[in-house]
Amino acid sequence: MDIVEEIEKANKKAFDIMNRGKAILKDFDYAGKVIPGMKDNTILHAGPPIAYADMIDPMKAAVQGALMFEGKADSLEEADRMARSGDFDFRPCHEMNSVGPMAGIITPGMYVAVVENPEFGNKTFCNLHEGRGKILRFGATGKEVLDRLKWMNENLGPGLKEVVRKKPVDLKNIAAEAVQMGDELHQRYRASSLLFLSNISDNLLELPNGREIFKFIAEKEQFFLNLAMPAMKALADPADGIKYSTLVTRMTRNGVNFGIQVSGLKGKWFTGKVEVPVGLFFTGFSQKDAAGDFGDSAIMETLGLGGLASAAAPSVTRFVGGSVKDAIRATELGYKITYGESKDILIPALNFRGVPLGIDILKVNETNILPTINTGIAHKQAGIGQIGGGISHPPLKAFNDALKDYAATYGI
Amino acid sequence: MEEKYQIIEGRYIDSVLLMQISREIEKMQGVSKASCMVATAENISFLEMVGFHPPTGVSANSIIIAIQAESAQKCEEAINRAVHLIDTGIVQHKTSYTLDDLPDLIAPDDFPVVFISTPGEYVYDIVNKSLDSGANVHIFSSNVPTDQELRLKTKGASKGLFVMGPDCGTSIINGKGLGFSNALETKGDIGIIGSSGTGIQELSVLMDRNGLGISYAIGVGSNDLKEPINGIMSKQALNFLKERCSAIAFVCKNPDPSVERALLESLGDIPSVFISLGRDERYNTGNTYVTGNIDDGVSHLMSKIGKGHKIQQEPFPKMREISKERKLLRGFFVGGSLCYQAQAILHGMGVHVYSNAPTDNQYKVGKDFDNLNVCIDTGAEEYVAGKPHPMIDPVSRNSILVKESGRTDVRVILFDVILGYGSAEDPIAGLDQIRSGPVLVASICGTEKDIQGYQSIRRRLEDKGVVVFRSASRAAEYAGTMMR
Amino acid sequence: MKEEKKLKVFNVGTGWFVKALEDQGIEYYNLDWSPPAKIDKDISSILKKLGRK
Repeated sequence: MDIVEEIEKANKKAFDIMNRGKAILKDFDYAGKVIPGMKDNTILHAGPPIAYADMIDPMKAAVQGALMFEGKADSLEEADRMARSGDFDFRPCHEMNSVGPMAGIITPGMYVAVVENPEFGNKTFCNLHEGRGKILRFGATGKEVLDRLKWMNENLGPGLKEVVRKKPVDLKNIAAEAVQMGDELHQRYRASSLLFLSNISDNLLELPNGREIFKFIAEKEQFFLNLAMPAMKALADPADGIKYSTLVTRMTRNGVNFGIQVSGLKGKWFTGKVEVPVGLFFTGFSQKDAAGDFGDSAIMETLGLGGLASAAAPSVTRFVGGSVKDAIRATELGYKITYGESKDILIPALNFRGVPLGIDILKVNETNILPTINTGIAHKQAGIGQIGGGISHPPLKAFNDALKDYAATYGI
Repeated sequence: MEEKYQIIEGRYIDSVLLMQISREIEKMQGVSKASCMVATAENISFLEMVGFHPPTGVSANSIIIAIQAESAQKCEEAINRAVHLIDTGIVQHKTSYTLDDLPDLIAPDDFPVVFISTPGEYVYDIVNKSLDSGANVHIFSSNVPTDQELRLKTKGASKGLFVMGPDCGTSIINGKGLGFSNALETKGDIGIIGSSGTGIQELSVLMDRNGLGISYAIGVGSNDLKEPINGIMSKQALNFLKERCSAIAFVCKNPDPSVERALLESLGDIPSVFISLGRDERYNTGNTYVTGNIDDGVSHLMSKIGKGHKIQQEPFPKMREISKERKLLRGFFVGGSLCYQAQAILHGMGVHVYSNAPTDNQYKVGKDFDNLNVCIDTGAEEYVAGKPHPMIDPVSRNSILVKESGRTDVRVILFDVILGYGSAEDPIAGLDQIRSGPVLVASICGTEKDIQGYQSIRRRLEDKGVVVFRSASRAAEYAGTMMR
Repeated sequence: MKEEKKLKVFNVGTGWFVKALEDQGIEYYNLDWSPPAKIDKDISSILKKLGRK
């Protein structure tokens, strides 16, 4: 048995699965109803495993807000006590077929999107997009946040449920078209959000509260974020667990640790410390206010979007004072650490070359090139929200550890 | 605190560019807060949240500029600048570049040179990238493995690009000096090819003083004229200089005989000198004069191109009485080639000096040379080891000179002072306490225009009783005569 | 005589000689460069066994 051959065969298989999958938005429903294994005391969070007590402030606050939303606590202090009590089962979203941006808190009473990869039958889930400013995913917990969540779960969720059950939405198609329109789908979502809205508008406007929902979605520049994320996870998950494969199937952060998972090492987290993202700030904020990198949105880079697709959206490099050349370089570095290129998601500026697809831990270890992640920057205090945009990277340590574990597992 | 708002209609401006413009405006004097945003509902809420009071009824498609500043006038200025930046769309790009940017930074009419002074182990990749981008390289770094040097020079030659060095201290390109170099005054079209840094400097300075102008000095590094490199860059330099120079001077140390032969043949008709430091022979071949001494080479070059027969040398001062107890010659150099040349001169005068970098291996010495005549190269690896090179920081060499000058058994102290770009601001720092018990002899390698101030350095040395010469060769000669 | 091209210098490494470039009015760029990250010995040996690098 030639290990090198086995690795190539396994990677080809994993890559093909990632490459040819589809992501169809089929449903919206309560997390407690549709997420397999979700119990009444389950609280999902972004990133690799972390205890409540160790969470960064925005994530803790989001947990507290969620518990108030669920009616389980009457105040943030009470919610905090409950969370510390050990009564709740905190799990990474990824371990329950889900993803959530920023704090990524999903509790049973929240509506989630349901995305399916038809060839493989696997489903993924993600919470609803709240918008910008004071929102739960950045740890805001005031009345307006909870009121909005209530409205969303009573209007947005059920409305979208009706709409997509009538006509499911091909999310990968939207992603591909949007990338050709200048979205890279981690920081830029304008085109994809509008394409989605356009896609559902006929059925949406038939609903009695259709105009209200339409207006809500239309105002949210990044609405598609919460659909693109489960779409990418739906494409990646069937490629997980392929013996010998060295391709990365998950990348995610919780503000303290950055975790990756590798196809041939199913179920294992390899972690390292997160970076504090570097970038450009909104008025009144600066680098010293920034929180460590958090959110499951690095699933975008895992499938070749976001930082790896920078060449499709060069203005994003402006966050770090970059130019078009820097954007192209970020994508070119991506090609150096991936197995191949997407057949469907193409970058016009690179002569319609497919985005880099299938991050290979062997290539990362031999080049020390880390994928660039285009990310929003959050305030380290709960509730203030996004304070800028910029760039971060996973820790090399996670890739080193994964390779060492691979060697031990496969007897290299 | 004043506030002012401006609405711009009918323009689409990227939101990230607007953020960049906001941060630029905030740098203006007197401006405390600036925000340029598309006037969506979300953004208007954001402006309110950070303390602005934006006007109502603004169309969500327009751009709003919000300024908070210490006066109405400052607000006005900030608004105007923001509008200007929005109109021109120009905000500073990153002004830092990497090797990857080389192809974009090289224009067709450039002579591009990547000047490398990183640790030697990293040089290979940097040179490769530079050559791939069409740039010549000047490798100042030392400790580059010879096999790497060979591969890089072979690649450079195949592309017609120069790989100067490794361990190349000096080069001159079209009259401008890279690395350690002197402010030369004479304009001209003479070319130098050198495998030694201070050799090129001394040669260029003496030529300059004697009316010979230099257009190019290609430093080929100490290994170029030896196996296995076999003169790849020397030959390329020769071909390059033959096309643009009226005369050529070679300065090197112990070249491989076959490489030397090939170069001498190649020189052909062009008026030239071939200085192989320390060589005893003097002869002509073709139109080339071969010698072992820099000053001699300069003299012959002068006569070949009709500038007079000999280099102007300074007279020796009147001999003074020296106690017979004083017996030793102690030379400490920062320029390796000057140390080498001095040894040859002294041996030729019957003063047999030991050295850590000897012209003759029977005179090799280690760390233990207290009671010997020596010429020590303090720039050699074993001396430098982790400290800055003595040309950059001469204090350690100078403190040795001070200590030696206190000895009662030392007859002559010989040293070099090198001026010019890259050399220390004060090359004679730490020499204050030097005493002229022994005869103190120094050469200054420098020009009147060098940044350290040739005349003031000379005066300071002479005030301490140092006998100063413009030429290292002349200084070594004088030191030799004082040993009789 | 050939027409001479314009010297343009790209400095990689210490900035010690940059002043010389400025004083002579030479057009130059400082290139950002840092040593490539060292590869762990254990990592290196695993990669070798897998036929890489």
